[in-house]
Amino acid sequence: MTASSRKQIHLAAHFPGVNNTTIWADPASGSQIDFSSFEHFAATAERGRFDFLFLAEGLRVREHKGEIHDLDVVGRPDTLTVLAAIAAVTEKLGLVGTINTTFNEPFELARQLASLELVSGGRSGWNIVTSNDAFTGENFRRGGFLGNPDRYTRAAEFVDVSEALWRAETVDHHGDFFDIVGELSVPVSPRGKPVILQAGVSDEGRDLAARYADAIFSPFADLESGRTFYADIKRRLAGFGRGADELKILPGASFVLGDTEAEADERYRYERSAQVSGATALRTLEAVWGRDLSEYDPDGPLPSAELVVENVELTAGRATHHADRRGAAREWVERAQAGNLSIREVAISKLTRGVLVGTPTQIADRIDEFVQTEASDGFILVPSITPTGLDEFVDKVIPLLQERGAYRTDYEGATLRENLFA
Amino acid sequence: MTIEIRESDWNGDEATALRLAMDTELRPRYEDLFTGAGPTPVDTEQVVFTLVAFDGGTPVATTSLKNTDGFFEVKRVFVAESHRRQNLGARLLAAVEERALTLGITDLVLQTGLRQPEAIALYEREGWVAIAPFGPYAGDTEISRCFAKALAPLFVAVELPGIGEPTTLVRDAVDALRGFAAAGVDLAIVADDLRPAPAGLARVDAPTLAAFAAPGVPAIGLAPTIASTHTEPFHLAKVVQTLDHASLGRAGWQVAVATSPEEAAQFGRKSAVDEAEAWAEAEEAIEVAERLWDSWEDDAEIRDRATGRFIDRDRVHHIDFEGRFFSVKGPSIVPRSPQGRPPIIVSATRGPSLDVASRRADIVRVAPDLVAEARAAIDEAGRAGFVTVLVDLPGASAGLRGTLATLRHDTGADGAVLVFDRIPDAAAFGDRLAPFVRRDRATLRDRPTLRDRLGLERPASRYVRTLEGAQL
Repeated sequence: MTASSRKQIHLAAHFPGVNNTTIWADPASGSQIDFSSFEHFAATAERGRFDFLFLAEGLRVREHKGEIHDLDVVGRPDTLTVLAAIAAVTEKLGLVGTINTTFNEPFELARQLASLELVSGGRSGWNIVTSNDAFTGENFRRGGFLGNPDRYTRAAEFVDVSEALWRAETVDHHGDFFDIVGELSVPVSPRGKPVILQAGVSDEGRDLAARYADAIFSPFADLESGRTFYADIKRRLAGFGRGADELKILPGASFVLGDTEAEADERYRYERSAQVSGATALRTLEAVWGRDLSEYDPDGPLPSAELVVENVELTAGRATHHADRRGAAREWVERAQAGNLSIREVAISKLTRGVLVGTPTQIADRIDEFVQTEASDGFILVPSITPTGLDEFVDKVIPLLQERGAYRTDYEGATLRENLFA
Repeated sequence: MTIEIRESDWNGDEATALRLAMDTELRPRYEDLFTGAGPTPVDTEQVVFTLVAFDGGTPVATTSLKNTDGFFEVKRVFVAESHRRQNLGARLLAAVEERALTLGITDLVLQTGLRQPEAIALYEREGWVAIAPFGPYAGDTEISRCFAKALAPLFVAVELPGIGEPTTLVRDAVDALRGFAAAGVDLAIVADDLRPAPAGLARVDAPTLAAFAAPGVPAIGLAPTIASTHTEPFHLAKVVQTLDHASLGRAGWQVAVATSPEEAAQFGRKSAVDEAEAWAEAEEAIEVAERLWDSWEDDAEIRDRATGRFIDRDRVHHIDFEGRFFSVKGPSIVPRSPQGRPPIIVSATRGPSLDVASRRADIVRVAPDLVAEARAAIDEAGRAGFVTVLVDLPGASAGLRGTLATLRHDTGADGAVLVFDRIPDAAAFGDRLAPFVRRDRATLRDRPTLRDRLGLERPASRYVRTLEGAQL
């Protein structure tokens, strides 16, 4: 394969989030909220010619056993406001934020996104999520929540209305969820509209993505499931009259680099133990078991799966929920017995997913393999250290990807859309 | 030459002799205009103080400050011929200013005549601003030349419209903000309106524009307008907090309401409400926002490696607000911002907006004829001394300097909001505003917050517990 015909990798930089992936106890860990952290992270991503910076969203501080969860990084800015500020200190980097359709109104959100698109010169993006979360609803006058099928119907109607507003139309919409008459008056770039991402992988989520999205934030960061998902989505695109190239699939992944493979492995073990403290392991277990386990020793054996209390949700404010607790608990216990693992060790193994570990060359090979073999179009990378965790990747891995002709040496265009589909 | 300036007596021999010399010198200049004997006699009851400058034992210069119908007027500035060209006039004026300030007098005026060019030159050199003839001289534009000087800076805000030419709106707005920041303006309010723009013009979301301006435009406060009628209080609270983080403590929130049926139809969530109802809701939204802003104590983040805790959960609080319009659980998702509670700005007319403004706002904006009413409402709310009252003025007005020069006297306000209906070229405002903005430019490097500029302390969170366990 020649350099010019090689399929191009697209990378995005996920600002470290408010969960245990982000290591706050490391001496290098900086502020998760100071604007200077966002400025540093964005500058690194732009230096690395990433397609976009990605921000997650949370609308309620997480709780566990009725109390505010205190073990992980917590506290973040309003998504679109901080992206607008980042737009002022970057030139080409795309700016994508997760925004929940359940707790926003189409006119207002479409207006905010069009404004971000305007101030950034066409670099905005919206990762659409929906929620069925009454816990989060307690922060909003709407309150309540929508069942699973309805929330996707509402999301689709939400996007339809937004797109009509972005076309600078006078909208007169009367649907199942919205009655909206109005126009934005915010000029949308003649080159397009905000880029749309979608992250849900249920059947409804996949259809929503195939119909509307420009990219998917996918959870499938291993080759096999990645290829299956990739093929499924590309097939669905045809059903909506769209070409296979019109949607990029970007799995989320963290990474651990080392100068040698052994060094990378050692660092990976350090990071995993820093990410999953004994206290975090016990809380993770409590969420599955549905009961207080604070008397257990995290370095000791697991409690019996028979102790599981069904239908008790101890953790609120996270996407992860367990449908079959007892089944999940049995699987954890079996895994622990098979490997002679402690509570903390099994939690580490269960909480691990989507990690690229190795030397810069190994990681470059791995990413390239994903893209060249249609397991993804690239990655959304989340470092474990705020805000400097991406620096090393940009310094060491990006040049290798560029050398093999699989990654841009400069931005092709001025807008996110131009770069994502270059 | 050792000059000593001392407080004296208007009717004392030294001052009287110097004023006589002044009359003698000036009379010939105005002989053809006046048939009378000279200046109107001064009611000595109105003299606040008289200063006389001595060279050794010899009186060589004088001036006085007089209360003329509520104006503090510098009267009869005279330097004996033997002592001119030695900067004595300027020293005398400086002494008047210093003495006035110790008496709590912040605004001075004076009148001179068209045939005293040397006096006019002195006042202009010393930063006095030409104004229309005031009080007893009103209407006399033939002979009187009047000047004013503000001894304490005004609080100067601008309101930029969130509207402009579609292709240049953002650039024009950021350029204007940069210009106003350089001119020493304290605060830029960014207007917003959810209704369609007039034909050919475009709008931009005010918080988005303010956030985009924050990193590159230094020093100036940034307050987007956000109507609480259709926006969730949880959302708007975190938007303002985020702007406060990104601007390093320069954010404010101009609270607005949206009562039109058009705006309601754009959201399609509820029918249009009347002003009273909308402001009642706004007051709840302010309460919710301020509780959310306090919901994280300043030292909530502990990063305690020994216990593995990132925060002390006892210092992050549910706000548990339940009102007529909202119930919001909290806490905010945003940690406490640099100012703690960014200032609240309410533009008030009579009625519900003034009620809410007087109870809740840190800055109350009113029309010039409403200042007294606003002050009375603020007093009644027990908040005198904590609220800055500003009057709206047309920013494009040609007589802006003169209006500002006597603003405190004429209106009783603490400053002004210069309102623009088109994004202006701010370059001209540096000179225009220089006499009225903070002169301590050097200290602006310390990056004052908007609260600093308003003279407001950074508040402790309302949820902080004292050692005894009682809430502050």
